[in-house]
Amino acid sequence: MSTIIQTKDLTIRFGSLVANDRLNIEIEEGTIHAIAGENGAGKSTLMKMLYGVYQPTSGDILVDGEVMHGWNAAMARSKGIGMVFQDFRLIPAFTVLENVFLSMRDAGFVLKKKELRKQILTLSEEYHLGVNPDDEVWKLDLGQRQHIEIIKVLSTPNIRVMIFDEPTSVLAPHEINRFLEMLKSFRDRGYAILFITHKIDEIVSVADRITVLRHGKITSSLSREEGFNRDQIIRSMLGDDVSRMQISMERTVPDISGMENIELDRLTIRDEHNREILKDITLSIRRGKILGVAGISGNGQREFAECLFGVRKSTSGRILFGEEDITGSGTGKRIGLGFRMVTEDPIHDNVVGNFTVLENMALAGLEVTTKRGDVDWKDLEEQFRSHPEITDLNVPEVHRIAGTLSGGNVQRMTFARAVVSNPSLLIACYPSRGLDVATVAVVHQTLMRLRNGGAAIILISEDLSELMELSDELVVFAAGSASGPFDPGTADVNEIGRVMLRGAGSNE
Amino acid sequence: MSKAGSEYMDKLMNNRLFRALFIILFPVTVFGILLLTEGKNPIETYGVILNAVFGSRYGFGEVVVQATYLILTSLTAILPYRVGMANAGGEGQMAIGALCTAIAGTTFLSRMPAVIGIPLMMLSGMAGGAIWAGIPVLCKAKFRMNETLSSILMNYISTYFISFLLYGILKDPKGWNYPQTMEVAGQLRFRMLFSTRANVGILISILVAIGCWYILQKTKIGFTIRTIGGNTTAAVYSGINVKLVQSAVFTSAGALAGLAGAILIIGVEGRMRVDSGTTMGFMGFLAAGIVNNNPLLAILSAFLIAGLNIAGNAMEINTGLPSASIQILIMLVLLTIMGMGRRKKA
Amino acid sequence: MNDLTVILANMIAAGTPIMYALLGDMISQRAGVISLSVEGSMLVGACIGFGVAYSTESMILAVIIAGIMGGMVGLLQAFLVIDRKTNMMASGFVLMFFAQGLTAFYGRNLLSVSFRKTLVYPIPFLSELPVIGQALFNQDILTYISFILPVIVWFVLFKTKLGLLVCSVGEKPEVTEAYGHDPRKIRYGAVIMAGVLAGIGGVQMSCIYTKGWANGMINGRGFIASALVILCSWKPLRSYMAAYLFGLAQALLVFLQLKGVPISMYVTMMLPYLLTLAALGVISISKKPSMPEKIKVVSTGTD
Repeated sequence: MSTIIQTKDLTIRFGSLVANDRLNIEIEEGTIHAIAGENGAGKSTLMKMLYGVYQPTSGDILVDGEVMHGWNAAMARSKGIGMVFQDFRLIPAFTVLENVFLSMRDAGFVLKKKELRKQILTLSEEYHLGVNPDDEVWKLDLGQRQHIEIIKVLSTPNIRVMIFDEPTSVLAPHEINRFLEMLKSFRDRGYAILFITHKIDEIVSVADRITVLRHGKITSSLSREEGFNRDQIIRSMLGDDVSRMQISMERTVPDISGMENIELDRLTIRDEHNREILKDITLSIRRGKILGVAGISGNGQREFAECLFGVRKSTSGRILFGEEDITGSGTGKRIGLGFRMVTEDPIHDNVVGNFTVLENMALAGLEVTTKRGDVDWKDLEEQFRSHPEITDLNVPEVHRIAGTLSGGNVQRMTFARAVVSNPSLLIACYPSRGLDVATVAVVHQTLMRLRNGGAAIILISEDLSELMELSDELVVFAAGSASGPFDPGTADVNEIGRVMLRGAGSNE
Repeated sequence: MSKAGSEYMDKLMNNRLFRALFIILFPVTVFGILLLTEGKNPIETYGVILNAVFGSRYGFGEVVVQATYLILTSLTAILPYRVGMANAGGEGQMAIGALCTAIAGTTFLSRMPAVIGIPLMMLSGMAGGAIWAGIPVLCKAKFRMNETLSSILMNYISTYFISFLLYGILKDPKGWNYPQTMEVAGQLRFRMLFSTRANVGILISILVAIGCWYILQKTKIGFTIRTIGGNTTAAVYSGINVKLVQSAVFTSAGALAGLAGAILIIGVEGRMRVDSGTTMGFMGFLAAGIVNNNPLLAILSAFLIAGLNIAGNAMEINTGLPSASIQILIMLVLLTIMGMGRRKKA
Repeated sequence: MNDLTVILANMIAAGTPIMYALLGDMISQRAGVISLSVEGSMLVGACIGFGVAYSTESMILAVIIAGIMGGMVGLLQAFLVIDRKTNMMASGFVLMFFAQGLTAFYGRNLLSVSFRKTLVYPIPFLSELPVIGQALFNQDILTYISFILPVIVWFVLFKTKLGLLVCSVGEKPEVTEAYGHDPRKIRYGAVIMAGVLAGIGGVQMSCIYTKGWANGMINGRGFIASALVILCSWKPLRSYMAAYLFGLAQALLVFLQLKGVPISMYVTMMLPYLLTLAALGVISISKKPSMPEKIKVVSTGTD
């Protein structure tokens, strides 16, 4: 087998951060090469460098043994390298056909629909992708969008290397198996596959070679002939952080007498496209419990959270806080009742970038006191410094500008803000997405502490293991309805996976 | 550009003194070249400009008079900007404010003493401006219409609406058929100061500007406004009724333009004419842009633009260039500031 | 000429400058930038174009220069919005002043002159048709071009790579970039194009429609064109309806005045603006899924 791409001491820096440190890897035709590692290990950076999105700070990329100068995406494509990005490169308002046309370099100036439609259908049949060229992309689910991405890559002339960035993160368990089968069929036709993931089972089942990254360095590289050792892979992924994962998660029974539960009574919610994304949801959200919400993303989790927080109106049904009907109330009223929410994108939704940390902490967090009618910032700073939770969460210094904080620090700040106000209900959406292990542990502990203090918690996540570990009860959103509640202590993961799929399955 | 070169440029562009010099000298030079291409002597022209502003007490008084309106109309643009909106309708809001003041002053308030009459006239003007600003607000709430576009259209509508009234039912029967209202009674007028046309209006404007700054920077409602301006979504998620605050701020901004209209009638004009106060609303928008929507600094930029405007009139008389050409110079200042980018905070 | 022909002819005459600016701004809005600056471009095009036509008697040169000058205003708009991240509505509005100043300055000697050269080229046979012949086929070249311009813009926007790239920038520029195209350059191109077309619309207005230059003669037509883009739901072929609806309103007003209908001149002059406002309201209530993603924030605010 011949080597297509080879890297020599490939290094890239972003400011003081060395994202990839002297990496030497080889990509051979007809093999599946898996790149494993935790979030932030530098996997995506490496992929983007190989695909020419980033230029290396030092080191070389060799294609067919030749050193590449001025490496960029156009060069990568001309050398037959294609990439399926984690965040799909698709324009929702366009049809599949228009998206594919846009991605093609040599498709000419005028759109020739007939030819292109035929080409897409041929590829779709060959690999059983089930893509209809005239569908508008926004109507398709994530699995189908991935298939369009694959068609785009396959349409590249002389394609021979396919890079997949976390391809399974958007897929449901049964789709994952089909996807892995597809990878094998690509390999068997001689394509070189580069496959990024942090899910060990997947790599072990399909990879011919596994390279593990940690903090931007290669910690191990094994071929199938040498044998894969699961424990060793985990150790090289996590290093000493493994011990830190075992944080104490004490679950106590809080005294919740006199605290109001939240009842949802046949709640129906519509999405932006006016489709009923959730129908007739009836749920009890109880104090002192963590209610996990599982489901493939895009099944109404976001709309559900927004509706509960008063940002989105429900079409029918009721929301009760204790005895009180709060269905028609706005966000202000619900915050008054102690509702707090950390959205899936707190930097965009919860933080004012040009404000200081202190000013941000005053948004539905620290109590805004006034002195002769003016905001008393001194007092707020006092509150900030004296609050134990803020110290525990290691929130950045009060005068730092929020827009300059890292994702982890923003998450610490938004969680601290939710905690200091002693919420009755905290809605946490994907709270560990994209965060380092240490921050995730802090966030998990905070959720548990709030729960133990009698708050109701809604934890929305796509990570089943996170949900199983933290939740007292688990519901699954799929096909417009909520299934469950399940007891995470006794429920079978495969069963939950099947329920998650009922929704996705209808589109197949 | 080389990396070192561009770093040097960055440093230079962040130097306060250099920025100030550049913002003044660049537009002045470019405008000078434009003058040369048209066969005018730039040095002479700039002499005319300076003389118009500082050469006489009357000239400077005129600057003060215009600054009075411009401070208020710049606030009309600044406040909505602080809640993420752009109000381009200051012109119409001020005109309708002036119209309402003139109507109030010549009808039900005409026999009132000054202490009651003048405040009520001002309130009428503010109400007029607020109503005119309220239309785009309503259009936004009901039809999700962009407020900038609708407020611009409202400017044109106000012009024709006022003409319609002044040529029709509001025309002064004793006004030799001029399109103007009757004159406001003498007791309901501001006194002229220092034998210029300047009046107590300038104090009102400056106090309003300081008040706006204070509210924005120090108070709880100001914090709410700044939150919305900083990130509307975050404001929604922190429980602020964003649409309500936006509507209220936009409407209040219209009231400030209306106040400018009221001062125009009570102070200088005494009656509504077709061209009373024209371009003051537009220019206020520019004044706001020049100081990056800072209410305190707007006082300075209002004086700057007022000075240039007065100079423009003098230029028309002395050099034969149309007074509107001074707009080139004002715009060059604004474009230079926008083009340089804001000063980066260390 | 009978009444209907007069109305039709006036409708087309008043609608044509709007058509150019409208299609220009539509391209720009498809790329995610609302170019209120078409007002300024029209002004500059009308003034400078008229000056060129008057002094050289060459209409072709006038159109080229007007296009370039309109494009320069577009370039400023592009720079302010794309590179300086200025509020696109504010910068477009502000550029009107710049154009007002420049045209007052350079157009001061053009105020009292008029342009007498005849630029009408009747199309044989077609111009003989009853009623519509004189109205539609006895026009100048720029008007003839405006008849097919919506189709051209439609074809380029939706059937060519360039057009789809422009639209992709208005939807998801990070995708455009991922395909190896610079969204910034595409945006610049689209905004400048808006200025070029608006400049041509301006010179059509001063040289053919009003046959003279007056300060501020565009009087909000560019803003109206911007608003009408929304009425068209960003679909080029609908610009026939939008531009001629505006033209028809003006034509009827002229017609009513000619017939001596007792209605205040100022009320009639106000109507096009009211009509535009009303049209915006009507279209806003109905669904508009075709709105480019990147201007949703500006056009409807947040919620």
